[in-house]
Amino acid sequence: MTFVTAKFDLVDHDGRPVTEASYRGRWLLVYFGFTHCRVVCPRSLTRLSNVLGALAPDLAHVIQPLYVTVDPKRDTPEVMRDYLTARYPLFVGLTGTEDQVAAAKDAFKVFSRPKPDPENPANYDVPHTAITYLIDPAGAYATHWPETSSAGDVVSDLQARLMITASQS
Amino acid sequence: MNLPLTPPSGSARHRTPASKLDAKQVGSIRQIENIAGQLDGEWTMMGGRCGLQEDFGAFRYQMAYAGLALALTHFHRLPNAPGVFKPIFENLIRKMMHPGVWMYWHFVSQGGALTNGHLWGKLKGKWDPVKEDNIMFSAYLTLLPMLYNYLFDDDRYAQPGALKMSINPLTFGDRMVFEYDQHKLSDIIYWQMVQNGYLGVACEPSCVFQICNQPSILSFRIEDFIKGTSRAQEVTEGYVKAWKEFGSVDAGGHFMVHVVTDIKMPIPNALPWLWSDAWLAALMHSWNPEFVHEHYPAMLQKFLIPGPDDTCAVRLWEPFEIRGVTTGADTADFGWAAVAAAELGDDKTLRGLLAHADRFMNPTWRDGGLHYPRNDVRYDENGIVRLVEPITSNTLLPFARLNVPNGLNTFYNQPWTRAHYAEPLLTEISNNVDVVEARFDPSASELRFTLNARQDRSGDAAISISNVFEKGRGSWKLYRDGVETASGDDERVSRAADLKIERHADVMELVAAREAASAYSLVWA
Repeated sequence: MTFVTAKFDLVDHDGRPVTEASYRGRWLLVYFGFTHCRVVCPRSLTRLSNVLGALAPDLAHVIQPLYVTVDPKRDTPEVMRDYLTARYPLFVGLTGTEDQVAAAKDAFKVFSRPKPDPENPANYDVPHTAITYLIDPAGAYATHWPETSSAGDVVSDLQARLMITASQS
Repeated sequence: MNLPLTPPSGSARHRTPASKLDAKQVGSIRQIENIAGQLDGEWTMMGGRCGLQEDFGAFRYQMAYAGLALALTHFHRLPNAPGVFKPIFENLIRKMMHPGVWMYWHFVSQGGALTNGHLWGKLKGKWDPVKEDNIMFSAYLTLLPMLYNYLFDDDRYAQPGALKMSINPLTFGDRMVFEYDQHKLSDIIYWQMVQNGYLGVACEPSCVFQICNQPSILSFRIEDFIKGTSRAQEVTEGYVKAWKEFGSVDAGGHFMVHVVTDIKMPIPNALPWLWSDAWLAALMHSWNPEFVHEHYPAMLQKFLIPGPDDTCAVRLWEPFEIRGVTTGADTADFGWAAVAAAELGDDKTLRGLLAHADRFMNPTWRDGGLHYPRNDVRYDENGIVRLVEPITSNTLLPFARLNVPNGLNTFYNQPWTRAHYAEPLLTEISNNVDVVEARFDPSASELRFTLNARQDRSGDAAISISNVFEKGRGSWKLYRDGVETASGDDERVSRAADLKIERHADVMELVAAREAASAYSLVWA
């Protein structure tokens, strides 16, 4: 029984249409969020950037980090590119239409629900799943880490998985 | 299993003072054994008023909480006698998969009642009872095998297809088979929780109840013990955040009952119902005790009815009209109040409720089991609570009687280490004796166990004790009622008087004449 099908049909932050097949042959580190997120996304993206930085270069090289928006209304490709290149340059941002993003969320079992931002009534917040997914080079779900996982745990787990795969190939 | 080798730091290993089960506790275990051991489709003493499997008359609740009561009894009171409980668990799990337990889902999955009337006509009935929603069943079908795996170190229900539900009707449709295992079920529940932002999984469509997600949290915790994962921590942290949006406590000071998720409407405990508060208090006490102690005592005070001679009862749920018809349901207010009192360590209330049951609810012994026959009369002419639902008799009063203060909380937070499974364990017990004591004291290298003869059975008592003939364990002596009756070492039995002892691999098989009660002590030098 497959719970996370990891399929998507979106647009990357350079405006190119992409699907999961576009990255076949590489491990995908997938995180859903939105660029207006004040706490959770910066914390997670910083942690994941540190994880990638802690890996040996030959391992990091086979991983493609993806940041998928749950707020396509505001997160256009340009907004995502500006946000990521300035802060988290290892990541590629993915966005799309409301329907495309909803389908991607469903494929990863991601929760998000816009609600008014108490600190800025003109704005809105989007609480969302803060899970990091690992997708294998064949496009299949490999594992995931909840927000509570430490960077060290993620590094150890990633190294073990990638090194096993490397030794088998 | 990935159980720790040593107890978690900062938490002293809980040890209930050694004590023997009393006659009512033994009768409570026997009552559960009796109902669980009935043939497939036989539900004697279990039928509730409703018959639709939608209130506490539902078989699933009776069996699930019977299992949890046994788990706590094994953990706290008879830790070295898995053989008392394992066969009962197997029966409970077998009966949980009977179609009479889960076929209600085909109708409930269509929605349209009090809780989600706006969905009527929009949904098609489903048959698979665990694939989506229906946490009011799937949580328990997951919990019981997880408990089995953890308590008995046996992963038979983790094997693919080990949990199989099927129907092969003569008069409609086609054969349907739904095959799962404990971890697949857990994954189904987990991913639904993730996708719902950890608010929880729905019972009937779009209705996420606080209480019905508590058994899943417990199940995740047990799975964490088994697999070394940390799902329970992830889910409980997410749960607390998710319920902040709607409020875990309503404006009236009671636990919020549920949220209708598609219209984002929280449903308070407005009437209010004690069963809802007490049920949640008891289960949530496992992982969130401060929150429960902050709120529940005030809730209970609104319902308590003092009685004569330190007895007490609780004000019952008032029947209300559904579609113009006054409807009664099995709500088990009394039973859940007793369970909560036992778990929260409210000894005065617990003693008062049990005393009320013994005085006013017709305690009856049948086949060695203690039960309280179903009574649909709510109050007698003197205003005394007389109502007894089957779940209160079969499961909740046994639960309250067998648990210890903070029993669920300790069970959740201080798991057994691997060392437990290497201790001498009573793994098989003939059905003509009750085990009223079974505890190994590592510091004294002593296994104490006491057997009481069942009055309704005959024959010699036969007991299998595992982990006896392990190399290096050394020589041992067996005492019965203080008199040395056998001795040996880690390879052989050298002497046995008045009883028969054989070695089979690491297991000691003991056969002895059945007496009213015999206290044994197996001591290593």
